[in-house]
Amino acid sequence: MKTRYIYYIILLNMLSNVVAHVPVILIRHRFDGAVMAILVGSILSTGIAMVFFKSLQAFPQQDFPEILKQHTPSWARFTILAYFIIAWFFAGFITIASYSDITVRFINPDISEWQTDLLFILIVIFLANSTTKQVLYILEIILVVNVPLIILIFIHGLRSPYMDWTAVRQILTYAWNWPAWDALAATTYIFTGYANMVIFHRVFSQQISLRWFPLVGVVGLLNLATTFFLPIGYHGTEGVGSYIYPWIATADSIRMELGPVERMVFVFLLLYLSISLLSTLVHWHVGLKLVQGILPSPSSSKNKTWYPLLVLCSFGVLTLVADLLFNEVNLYNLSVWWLRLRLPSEILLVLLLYWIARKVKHETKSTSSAADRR
Amino acid sequence: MYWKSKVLYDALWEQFHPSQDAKLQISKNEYEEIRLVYLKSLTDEAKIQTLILKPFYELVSEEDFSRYIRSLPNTSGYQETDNLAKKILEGNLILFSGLHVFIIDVKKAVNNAATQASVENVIQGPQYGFSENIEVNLNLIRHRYPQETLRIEVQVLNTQIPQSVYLVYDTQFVNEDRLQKIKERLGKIKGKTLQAVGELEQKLNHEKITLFPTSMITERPDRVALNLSQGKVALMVNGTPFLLLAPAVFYDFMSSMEDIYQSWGVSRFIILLRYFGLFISLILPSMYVGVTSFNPELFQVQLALSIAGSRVGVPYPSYLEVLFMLVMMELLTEASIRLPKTIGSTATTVGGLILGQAATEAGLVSNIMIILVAAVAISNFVIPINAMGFALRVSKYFVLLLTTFYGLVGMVVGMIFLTGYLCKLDSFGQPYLRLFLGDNDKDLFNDKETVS
Repeated sequence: MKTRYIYYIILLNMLSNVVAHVPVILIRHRFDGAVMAILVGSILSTGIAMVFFKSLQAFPQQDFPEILKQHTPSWARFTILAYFIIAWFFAGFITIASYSDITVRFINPDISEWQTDLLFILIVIFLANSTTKQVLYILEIILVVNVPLIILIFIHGLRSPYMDWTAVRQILTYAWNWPAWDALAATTYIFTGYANMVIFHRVFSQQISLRWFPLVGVVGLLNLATTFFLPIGYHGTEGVGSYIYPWIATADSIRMELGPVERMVFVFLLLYLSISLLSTLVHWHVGLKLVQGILPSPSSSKNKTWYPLLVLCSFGVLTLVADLLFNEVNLYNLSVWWLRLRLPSEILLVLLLYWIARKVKHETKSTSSAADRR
Repeated sequence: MYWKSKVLYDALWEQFHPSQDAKLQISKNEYEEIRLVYLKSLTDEAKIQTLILKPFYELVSEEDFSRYIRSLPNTSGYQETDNLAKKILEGNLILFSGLHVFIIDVKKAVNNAATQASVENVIQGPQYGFSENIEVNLNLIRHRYPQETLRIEVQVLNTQIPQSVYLVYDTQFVNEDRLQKIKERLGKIKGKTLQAVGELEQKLNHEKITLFPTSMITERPDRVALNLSQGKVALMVNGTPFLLLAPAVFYDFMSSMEDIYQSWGVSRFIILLRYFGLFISLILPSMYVGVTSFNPELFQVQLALSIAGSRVGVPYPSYLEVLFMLVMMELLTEASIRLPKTIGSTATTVGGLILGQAATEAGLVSNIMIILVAAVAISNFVIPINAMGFALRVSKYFVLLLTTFYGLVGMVVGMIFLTGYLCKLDSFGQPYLRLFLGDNDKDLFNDKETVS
């Protein structure tokens, strides 16, 4: 596969932050360290991601379960994978649950939430039950269609006369506050797309060049700045704190008088519908493959086709039930907790991989030097 | 007569003499006797006369005659493995002369005129398509593709009445995996007969429920030549002016041969137009339902008001309105295909103009609906390959169904579903839909598509 697909995976997470409560967490901490968190988080995440890709270079065309299988005892593999399955399931769950909330609130108030959930879950199950390459093809097509329009909305929003740059400057005066943990966790979520490579790496055979990788950090920083400052510019430093989905409210303030659609919020919502479905698709696909890493597919060909469907359907049923029990505040709290735990788990994941990679390199070096001596 | 050839002759006599068109003829001259066995309906009797009978009476010795026969270009000696009855059915003549048995090809070619291309028209470009005769078609391909690496293979199907399928490919470009897969699937074909490549396409596909075509039927020699140079395999059956090209991906169905005969800018514009048409024909009906019944605030207020205004007299919800008009249009399209050409235009005029006019006046559907249905119908025909046009005609109902239940969200989800479905399809192991596949995309031809 071409290297560009890696950047699609990273880009997807950058875009889907709006649905995963990142802006609202950052805005909650706008006076105590969000700006610093954005700066520190960008640098930190880019660094972590580069270590991650560097370590992966030792294992061409292998995914994380395979690497663990070769280099760690089975109890460790089982625990680690089980933990990550839960993490990836919740990543998908939060996206679907909050987007169905958004749908009911802003697009289809007449349709009940479980019906919306059902539609989203069914489509994600259908799409996630494909090969890893097919997931990347789907990802590419939908991103290429959507991203230009999303960037258009961003630019249009920034150029609008309703954007109040004084508010932005005021927030910038709080830049020197020590970053809050929550805000840092929220910031690094934007860059966390690379973590999906634990599974997707198995279709990449080439060495991934890291020379231009810091550019990803810059793009992420710009994206974060837009995510954070645009709502502040539209709603003011105080007013922006009263929304649970500040971005949707902001998009509703953007108008394109001469365009085919005047209220940008609809375009925005429909574009983000595809983005959040894709995000869930990628997360659940990774979840599915991790499950298959613990429990290999049955050998008979008939069960083999049903097995992934069964896993995905259990994800779906869990989501459906949990979303019925959760209201928006619960969902927000869950999202915050998930983000808080995500950052240290991600660092652990990268360190683990780095350790294994060093061990492997060391072994090959010693064997090759032994061969030289002979 | 040598006893072995006698046994062969008797067997043939046993098999063929009840047939009215079988000819078992014995000719004698001064020195020897020859026997001919052939089917009158399959062979060219004038050819037999000039090639065999005339020299037989003119040449003086037995030696001379058999030497002459052996030197004919379309003669082959009898081998143990040959099935003579089958050879006769293929239009050969069996000649028994003394100790020797010869198989001589004296086929009478029928339907060997190349027909004007009528399904895939181009403005500037080759105007003739294939004929119904396989030899002529092979000849057309060889002429258009003068390359020594072009390989022609014959595979006989395991159907009850055997039919041979000709595989044509260029060994320097073809992907071995895909070729192997095609041969494997050809070997698995069962059934009574095989008459046309459309049937072959259905039988090559191992999925039960199919909507989108995964191999391409074409009638244009230029398209075949182009596709051979892109590493595809052409499958031919005798008796049809169409060929099957496999594997075929989504873009193949969106391209017309005209695209490479036009200037760069023009052809890009036309391709863009085609995708625009595809998009319109898929989402316009759903968009109407979504905008009128779910989110009228999407477009400018004036438009929302004028749609609402034109729907004042319509008693039904928008999805019924759309469905009613769409089904009417499908009926009209279907009818105009089957009707004789002379009545066709009358039917479309009566159906299209008068029905649309009357339906709005009667208050069954709104004015805007008529514009919409016309746009959908026209844009559907922009798609150059019919099979794809049909598939998209069906898929728009699926998007409409989702929109009826979920509004604009359903429309977007429906489009994502369709994209995903196309990405999940494959044509003999080649991914059906993906972006940016240039000629330099290495995984297209050489990479093994592993399932992962």
